[in-house]
Amino acid sequence: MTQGVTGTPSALQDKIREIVAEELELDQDELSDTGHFVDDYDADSLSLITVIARIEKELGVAVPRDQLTEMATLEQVFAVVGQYATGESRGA
Amino acid sequence: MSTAVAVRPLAVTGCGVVSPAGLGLDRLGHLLHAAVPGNAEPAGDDAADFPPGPLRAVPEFRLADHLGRKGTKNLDRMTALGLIATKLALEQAGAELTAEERDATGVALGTSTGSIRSASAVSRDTLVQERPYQVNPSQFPNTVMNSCAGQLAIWNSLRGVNATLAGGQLSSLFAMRYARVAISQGNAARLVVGGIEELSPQYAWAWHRAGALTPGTALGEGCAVFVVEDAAGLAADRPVLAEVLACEVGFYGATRRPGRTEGLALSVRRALDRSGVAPEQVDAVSLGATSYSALNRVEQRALRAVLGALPAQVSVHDVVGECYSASGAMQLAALLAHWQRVPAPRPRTALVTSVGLDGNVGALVVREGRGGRPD
Amino acid sequence: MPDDTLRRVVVTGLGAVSSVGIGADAFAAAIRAGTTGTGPITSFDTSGFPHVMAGEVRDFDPDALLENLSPDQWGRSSLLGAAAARQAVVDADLDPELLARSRAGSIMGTTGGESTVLQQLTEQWVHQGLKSIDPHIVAQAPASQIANAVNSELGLTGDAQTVPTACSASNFALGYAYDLVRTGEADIMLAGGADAVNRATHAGFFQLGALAEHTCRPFDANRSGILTGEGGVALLLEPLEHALARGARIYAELLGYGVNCDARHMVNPDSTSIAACIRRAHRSAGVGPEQIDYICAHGTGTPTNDATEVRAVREVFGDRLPPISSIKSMIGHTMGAASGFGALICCKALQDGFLPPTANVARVDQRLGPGVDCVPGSSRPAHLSVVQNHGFAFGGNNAITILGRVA
Repeated sequence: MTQGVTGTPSALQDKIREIVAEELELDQDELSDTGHFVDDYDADSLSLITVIARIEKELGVAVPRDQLTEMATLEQVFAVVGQYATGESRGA
Repeated sequence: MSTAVAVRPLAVTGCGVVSPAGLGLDRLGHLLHAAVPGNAEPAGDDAADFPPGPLRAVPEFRLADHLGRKGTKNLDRMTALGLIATKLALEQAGAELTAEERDATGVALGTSTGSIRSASAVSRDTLVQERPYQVNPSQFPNTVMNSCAGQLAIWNSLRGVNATLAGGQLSSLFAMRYARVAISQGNAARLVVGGIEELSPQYAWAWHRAGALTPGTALGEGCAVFVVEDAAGLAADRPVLAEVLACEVGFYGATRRPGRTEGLALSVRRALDRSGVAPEQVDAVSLGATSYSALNRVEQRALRAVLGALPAQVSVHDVVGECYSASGAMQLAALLAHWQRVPAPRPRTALVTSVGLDGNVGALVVREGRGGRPD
Repeated sequence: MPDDTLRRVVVTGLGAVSSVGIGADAFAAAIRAGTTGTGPITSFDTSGFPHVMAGEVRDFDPDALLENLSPDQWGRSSLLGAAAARQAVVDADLDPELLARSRAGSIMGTTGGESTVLQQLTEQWVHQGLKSIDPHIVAQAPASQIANAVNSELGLTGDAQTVPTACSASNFALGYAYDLVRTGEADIMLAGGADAVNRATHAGFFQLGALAEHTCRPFDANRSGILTGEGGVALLLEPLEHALARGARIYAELLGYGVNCDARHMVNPDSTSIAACIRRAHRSAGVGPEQIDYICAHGTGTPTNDATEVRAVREVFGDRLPPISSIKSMIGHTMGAASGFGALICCKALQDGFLPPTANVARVDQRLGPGVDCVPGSSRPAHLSVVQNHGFAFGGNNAITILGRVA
């Protein structure tokens, strides 16, 4: 059962950081909060879609695909996920 | 309506093999010569899930050692086998290709299923995940059967025709036949062509349950690919491992007459005719059907019908196991490996034959090239 | 046959098993009318899927369409392909005995191969364990069974090759079959493709964000993606001389084709590479852009595909874009069969004089630029001489065929 993350915001952010680092094939310390996924880390569009899919599956927060354009840095991912995590996530 | 015309030979200028014998043609030749079977232990998380029965698995390897780490996360194991074999083949074929040459360089790869491990993992996810759509987007492209050929193109910037051919045991010969047509029609100047098979518990259980193999036969895996180019257009100083002459195939799965034996004999005759090779000029046969007792008899009978007494026989499956879609490519690699190890005063000519459980049959004629032997 | 002369190759038989009709005539009539064949999925349990629409062939009765194959011995894709091939032979009015004695075979394209067989095996794996998978259906699983089914149904002893080059596979098959006939390697070839709707493909496209919720509307400003589809399609190819000698009805000449590979990305299309493929196809067919009267688009209905495709066409055609439409608006994305259905409708369009439509278009996307005539709604009468049929695929596989009236 996937459960909405009920821990602290920083626990949620740690998990997001882990997912993003894995999908971008980076060590976590290589990934800054403000680095641009595509420009700075050469991220692939499919990797970013996978980040969203994993956030839904593993953290229970459903983010619509069209929000991808607003999620170009880790900081922006935190913001968007935070926005969708506050409400009841889709079908959760 | 039409009659067989002579074929334009394809020059094999590079060969890459990843097999239970290890990496490279030399390893395969070494084990073939010593009559020692390849590695028997599958690696990986699911190694315990295989059915009982002998296996021949590519010894454990790390793709990152060959390609670097970046971009390899979502490549599946089948693609990894293909990428390493292709790297070896292109390295042997000589100088780095120019951008223009890469536009005219393609891929023709034989596989009947793609990676069953990848396809069934995604299919399984739709059943066991909390929500049925929760499959991994980055791994979804691995489920299409041309995934490996596509990645070979991406990693090597090969922008020419990119073909995947499915034909059961015949898959590799189909790829070679495709390559002959594509190069003769100017659709490519050069192709990486071969066959690939991947062991997985799902694949092994399918064979186990189907019960098609002769008891005691090892199930194998691997990838063998060849860089082929139009022999007529090749610079005289380029080393040529071999020339692929004709590759003839037919389907005799449904018809009672002609049956498979006559069908295979027809393919062999036709291939020899089109190659301008007389039956008595065949120095060796690399056998395809050694893992199936019924098909083994078909192959032997057909060869005797055309050749009379059989020449030297090479049985690569003794080393690499039954490699299904990769069989024909492994059979061809075994000939090249043998020729490298045991030099002869004149170029030799050999047949690669194949008979499928599904009724597909085929034969390929290959002649030893200039400069294929180590100095 | 003279050894050094390449033969001209024509299409004389058509077969289609589709969500909008069984048989080439029924299929073409439905497409001309702009009929949509997509609807709620019935072939698998869609519980938990947010999007549940697809183009299924609901009234497929293999027993009624096949003469020699036992339906319980073959997977759904094989049956769809073989049924279409049987229809194509009947449509070509070729004596089946004569055909079986000819140097004849089949090249069939697919994306998922026997995907519903794999789906069944996976269900058995999940519910009962791998040791309990059914050996009877294991034999049906290889994709290569699709061409084998065609050869078995028709008693053919020539090439039986399946080309799983994904969503451009039928065009790929047509190109290969054309080469085999033209060079004299074979005298008669069936070429086409087959695929079946299945859970994994549906899930995968949803996760990519490429699956429309209700409606596939290519070129529309509000297009939101594909609908998955299925079907079997086959075209019968023979040398022009042979067709003329036997007084066959000739739908079209296969003038040539182009194939290449983006070699950049598994999923994202590349307009420069597609433009290069179009040029290859033109060169092969001996035509220039000004001669193309119609483009049967890949036209999946994803924002990215349609924009990339139109950009590529502009790169080659400049400001004069021929009418360009997508039949995927009606039958969904039939994967490996898609460009085969495209080729078939091109043959009918050449023969009967019409432009196939794009259904479900409310407002053409202005961002595609000026001059995009996607033939919205239903077909228009038109005299066509040379047409171009697109197929693009995962793996960056582009394949484009050029068909024309026999001149």
